[in-house]
Amino acid sequence: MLSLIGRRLALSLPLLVIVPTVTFLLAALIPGDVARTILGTDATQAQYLQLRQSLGLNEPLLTRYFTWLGNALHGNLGTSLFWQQPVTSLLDSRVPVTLSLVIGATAVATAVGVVFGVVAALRAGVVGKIVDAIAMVGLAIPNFFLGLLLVTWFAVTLRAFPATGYVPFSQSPGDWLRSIVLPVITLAVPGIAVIAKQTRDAMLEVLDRPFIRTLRAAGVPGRSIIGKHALRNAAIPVVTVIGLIFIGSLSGTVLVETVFALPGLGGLVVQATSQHDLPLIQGVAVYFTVAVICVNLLVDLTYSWLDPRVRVS
Amino acid sequence: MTQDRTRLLGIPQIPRAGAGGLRTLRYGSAMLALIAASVATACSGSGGSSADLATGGRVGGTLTVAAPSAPSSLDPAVGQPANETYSDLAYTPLIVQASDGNYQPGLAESWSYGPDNESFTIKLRPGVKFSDGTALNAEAVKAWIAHEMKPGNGGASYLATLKSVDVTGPLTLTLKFSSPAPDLEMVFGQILALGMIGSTRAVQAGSLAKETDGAGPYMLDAGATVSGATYTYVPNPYYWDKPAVHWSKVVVQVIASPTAALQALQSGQVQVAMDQPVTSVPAATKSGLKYVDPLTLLLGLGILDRSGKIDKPLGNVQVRQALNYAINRSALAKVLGSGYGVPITQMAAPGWDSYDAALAKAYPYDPAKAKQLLAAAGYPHGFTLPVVSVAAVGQDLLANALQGQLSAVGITVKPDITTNVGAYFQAMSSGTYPAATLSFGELPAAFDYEDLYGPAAAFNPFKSGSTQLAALDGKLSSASAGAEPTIAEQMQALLVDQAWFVPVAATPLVVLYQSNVTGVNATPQRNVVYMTEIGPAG
Amino acid sequence: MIAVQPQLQASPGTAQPQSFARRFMARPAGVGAAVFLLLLVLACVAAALIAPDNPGTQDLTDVLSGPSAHHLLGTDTLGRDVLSRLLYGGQRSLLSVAEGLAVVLALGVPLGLAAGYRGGGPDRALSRGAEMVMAIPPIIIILVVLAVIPGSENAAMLVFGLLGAPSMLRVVRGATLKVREEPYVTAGRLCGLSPLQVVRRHVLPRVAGPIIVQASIFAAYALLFETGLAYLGLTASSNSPTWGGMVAEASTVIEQQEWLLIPSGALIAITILAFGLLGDAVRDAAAMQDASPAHRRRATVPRDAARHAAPACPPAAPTADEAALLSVRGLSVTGQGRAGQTLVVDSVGFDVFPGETVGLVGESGCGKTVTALAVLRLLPGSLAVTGGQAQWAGHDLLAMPDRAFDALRGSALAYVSQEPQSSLDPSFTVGSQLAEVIRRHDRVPRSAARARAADLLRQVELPDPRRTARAYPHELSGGMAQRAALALALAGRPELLIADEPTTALDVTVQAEMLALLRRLARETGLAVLLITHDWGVVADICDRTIVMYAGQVVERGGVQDLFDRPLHPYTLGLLRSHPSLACAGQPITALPGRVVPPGAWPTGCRFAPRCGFADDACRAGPILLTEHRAGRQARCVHTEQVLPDEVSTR
Repeated sequence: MLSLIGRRLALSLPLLVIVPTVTFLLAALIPGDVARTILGTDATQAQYLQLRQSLGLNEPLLTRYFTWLGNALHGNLGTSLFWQQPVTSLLDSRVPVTLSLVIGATAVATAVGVVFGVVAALRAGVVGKIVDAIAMVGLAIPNFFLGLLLVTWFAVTLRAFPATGYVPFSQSPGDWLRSIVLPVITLAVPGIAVIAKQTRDAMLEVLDRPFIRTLRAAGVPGRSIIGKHALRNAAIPVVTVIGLIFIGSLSGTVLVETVFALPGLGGLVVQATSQHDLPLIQGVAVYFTVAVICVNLLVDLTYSWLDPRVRVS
Repeated sequence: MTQDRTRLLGIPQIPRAGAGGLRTLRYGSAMLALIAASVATACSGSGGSSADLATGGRVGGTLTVAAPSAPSSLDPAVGQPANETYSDLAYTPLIVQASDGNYQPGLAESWSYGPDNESFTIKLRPGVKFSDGTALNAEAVKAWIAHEMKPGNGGASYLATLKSVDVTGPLTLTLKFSSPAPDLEMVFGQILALGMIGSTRAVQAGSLAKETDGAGPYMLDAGATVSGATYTYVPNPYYWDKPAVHWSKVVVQVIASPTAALQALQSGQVQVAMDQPVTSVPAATKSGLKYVDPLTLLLGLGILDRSGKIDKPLGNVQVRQALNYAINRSALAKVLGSGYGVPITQMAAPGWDSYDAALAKAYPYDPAKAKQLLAAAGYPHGFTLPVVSVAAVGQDLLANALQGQLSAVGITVKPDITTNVGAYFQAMSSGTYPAATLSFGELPAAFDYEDLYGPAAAFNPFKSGSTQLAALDGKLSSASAGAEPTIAEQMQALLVDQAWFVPVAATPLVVLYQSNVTGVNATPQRNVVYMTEIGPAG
Repeated sequence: MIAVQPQLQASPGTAQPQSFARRFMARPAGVGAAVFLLLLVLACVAAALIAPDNPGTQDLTDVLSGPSAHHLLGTDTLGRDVLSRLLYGGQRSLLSVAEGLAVVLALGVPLGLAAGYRGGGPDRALSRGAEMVMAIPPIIIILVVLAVIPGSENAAMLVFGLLGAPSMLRVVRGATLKVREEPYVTAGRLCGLSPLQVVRRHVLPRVAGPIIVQASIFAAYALLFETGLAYLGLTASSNSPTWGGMVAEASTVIEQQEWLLIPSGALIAITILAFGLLGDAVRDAAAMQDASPAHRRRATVPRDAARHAAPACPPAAPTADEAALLSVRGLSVTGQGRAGQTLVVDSVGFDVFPGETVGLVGESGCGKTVTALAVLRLLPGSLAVTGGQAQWAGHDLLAMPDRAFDALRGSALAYVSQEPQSSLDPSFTVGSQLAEVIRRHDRVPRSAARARAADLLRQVELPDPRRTARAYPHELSGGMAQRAALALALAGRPELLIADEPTTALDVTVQAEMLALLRRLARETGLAVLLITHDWGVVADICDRTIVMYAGQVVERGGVQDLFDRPLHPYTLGLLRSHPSLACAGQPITALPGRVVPPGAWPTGCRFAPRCGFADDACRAGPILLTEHRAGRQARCVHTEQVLPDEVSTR
């Protein structure tokens, strides 16, 4: 078990270095002048030079990179150019929102997608085609459009859910739930499509396998075969996809949080982009990468739990 | 960061200082209001100090306010756009401007002008503490003013002629100016915010960007605050006027989209929505919401590069005038103001101090004349005009609309629409765009000069100057109250003639609120809501 | 009812290979998508010609109007015609998609070809690199790019293409690997063609299908991405409309005009859908041969129609033998393939008496496994019983309702298959699977089930039952796994065990042990065994009687000893003669000439005639009936007398 974690971490560590490095390099290529941008046109030359010094802009690129890297390893991701606050404190306050959305969306996508997939695997006829069609549309519809549609129908017309805004769980669980229903659905839809398809394919593949026949012949009831044996074996490829859905949902929050005006990491990074606030974007990149690594690790661990053959190796 | 941006969302009208009759009238109506409120208070039976005009002293639960944007810094001296919603709660100003336009003591117990308005003496209220427990005294105010005078902060705009600050006693100080500074009461009031004193300790620690440390009724609860999204305020334990604290918690939610703000009001998520476009009013009133609409916003195009540094044609006044002829203001006003817009040809709306009715006929819609002027200036085929804009208060709509209108005379507008206000200001003040759409609230003419078109103005990144305007401004600051309007109108006429702007429409900006709150007061005398007045309805 | 599929194909080799184009055209969704995309591209390119209005023409008196005669899709916030803006906006979006696609193809295809063709070091390096890049969430990188170069859609799409190239690389690499080992590729290399020529001429055409599929998928994502960026206003273009921007604009006026959201949003969704459908259709059309079972069309034989289909042989259905445990008469199974319906098992009949071991022998493809699966009602969806009956204790197994038959599973009939390890669920321990089956039949508490499981494992001669019970199937050797499977089959105390080639996958020594075990079990418990095999040695070892099948029919029946001494059918004779154990040292083995004719191509006459040394016109004229020569000895041949004198002594 430990060796598994260790191996996955060893493979993932390069990623943790590469993504922030890439963003750092891109940022370093900025044509404009960061210090000038902060101060505006009113500042004196002395102030400008002083700011450049304090931002370390006079150092060579490599030195700046290693300084930044060193700081990052200690948990200091710099200061936001726009907010004049530490990046980590800005991001930490928004993590619960994004986590609520992404975990919620993954859970919904898994629950609904698996059910759809199993149904489609068992009933090849009309039901299977309907599931196919829903999956295709679900993947095709852009999440920002879907979000807006949901807002129009449920928030504007029906007034069933709030159109925007996030209520923290600690404040009111009921309101928290209501505030994330529409965004979670929006994020989950493409995930449902992918998971349904993958579940169906995996189930069909598993149901083809010899042991299914053996168990059936031995008298194990159909319910058990599907619900216990087939599903358990089909879970392995589906788990990979679930991991991918989680990561995809992370990216999806960029648009969905903007549509629903939720104070999460996704919405923040969009603002930061238009404000050229590179330390903030870099910070979000690091957080996203950490999330990706954690999810991959979790998927690996789940594999080993699901597939006895992996455990031994 | 940069100078006071409160223009964006509404500024009060000039109280006609010295116009006795009017003042008496206002005083009278103020008395009337006071009596009425007292009667109401007495009848409702809930006791409270007479200082509570609005609420009768009840303490409500949580007040949630929707604001369209958040400042990047909570420091009142930095003067970010829409700061007052946030500053009002945590910082009491030296002088409070009541809704009737009169000035009441805030942190300052009394004040007086010296001879020729060249000095200003303040006597502070005793026994006041900041939210960190330190005491308010003359030294603290001096330190604060020094903070304000740092480059980029408010002092540069409004205390430009400050010579010295002399502490004359533990609670008294005198400011000396090299030339008369206008309207210091307003400068130190909650609107221009220079008097919103913060604790010296916090100034030195540099923590005011993300935390509050003032002497106001509330203070920021940093733990429950997400920058740019939610700001939570809790009562300030050191506040001296306990009955004036109407809520156990105040939450400011940043809701950029007016649609979303309206929905939040309708569903009860928020009780007050600041700075909403007038288009929301019909739906709001249908849902039983109330509104006040004292604020008028001027929408137009600011020609920043008047000397033609980066966009040569703009250096020619004929070109600028052509721009003014080329647009159909009444059609634009209709679209921008959803039927409530009024076309304007000057940077003032009807009823404002510097408004000159004669100028309304200045640039009738005449594309042919525009083309003529362009040809005469040497640009018969037009030119390219990059414009920076922001997706807020209809500026983006204006930018796109202008694109369509100006293309008819051969001018290709290239709008660059930023997604948030901070980026817009960054871009506009960077001097990389020759023009910008702008929205501007009403200001006293002198402040107009400071903020809008003076050489040090925020909306003047190319620092274009005009000796005539400078001279007029000089006259304005030493003029008597009666002479001010005339000089102001002269300045306006000069601006229109030089076509430094392309004003388009004046549209109202409203504050919407639920009927279970009261104290949402904005009047012609003070057309900005003062947050601390809002309380639960009786 | 679960559809279960055996390893064999329903109708091998009967479909004509169709051209890719024809297969693609057969898919209406794909064709529709392709047509739509073509029209869209043309319309957008020709926007200047066909758009009703200029995209920037404002009409401030007619803002936010719904669809009307003058403005087919309504007007926006400045009175501009929505339809025109969509057409012009499409130029931008489609161009961006093309940009990204160009990068993906330019990078992914050559690198994928190189990785797949070269293999080794370059392949490993490229694959690793691809994996790394694919793990990066692209949105973050793109946002950094946009923060550095604001508003540049070209830069964004370029980088998006860079980040999407690894997927294409992987796909191309995989396809190249498959093709690389093909004979004609090797031939090309040997002919002296340079690798580049080989790749271009032989590999690339085969890889084109997956490339198009992946390109379609990428195009869908690229469009999704591009419109998203435009919606956020990050790629704001000053002059021209964008689809994403139009959605953003519509979102600001939802309360005033709900319609405005629809034209732009729906068009984006439909275009993405079209890309997706196109990709799916191309993939289906291109990958017919190596389609996984999941993608194969699960055609089912319409049961009613099948029952009326006449089997090739007239139903020779003498009544079932009441003394027999299992009495099969006239069993026919038909398969549904692309070429239509094919008879796979033709009117097969046999008996299994209590306690006896019957061998069902034949070459692979003769239908013996299908027969067994038919009796067990475990046929895959593409095969169905189209005639006959299987009598068990007075009831026809094939006609019973599902519920009734399920009750017999495991408790009356049991099954052991060929592959020992894959016949057990790899995710559960042997013990837990055993216990599950036991509890299904016995309804005892867990502890009792576990105890019985240990007993069963002991019964099948597993050395350490407790350890085996805790083990997972993959941890067992072939022999041990087969014993465990046997234990599973016996858990329900069945009366008949149908064993499908139970020893084929085992080592010779283990085989002998397994057969000995079977023999012992049968003797001790009175278990009847229907043993399906192609190995005469196995038949000789433990079977009492034998049924020989050829080309879907029973061709000979009889006791083992008698059959070995005096085979009646030329096929049996041939098989016995060609058995290695009968070979004379120094002389070549007399193997049967020719190959068995597959189902669907069976001649009307004797199916063995093409390979038979005794065949004449009488054999080929019409169907040969199974006739009884002596008590308990039947053969489907008219020349048995000629076979008889050729006595082959066995053992």
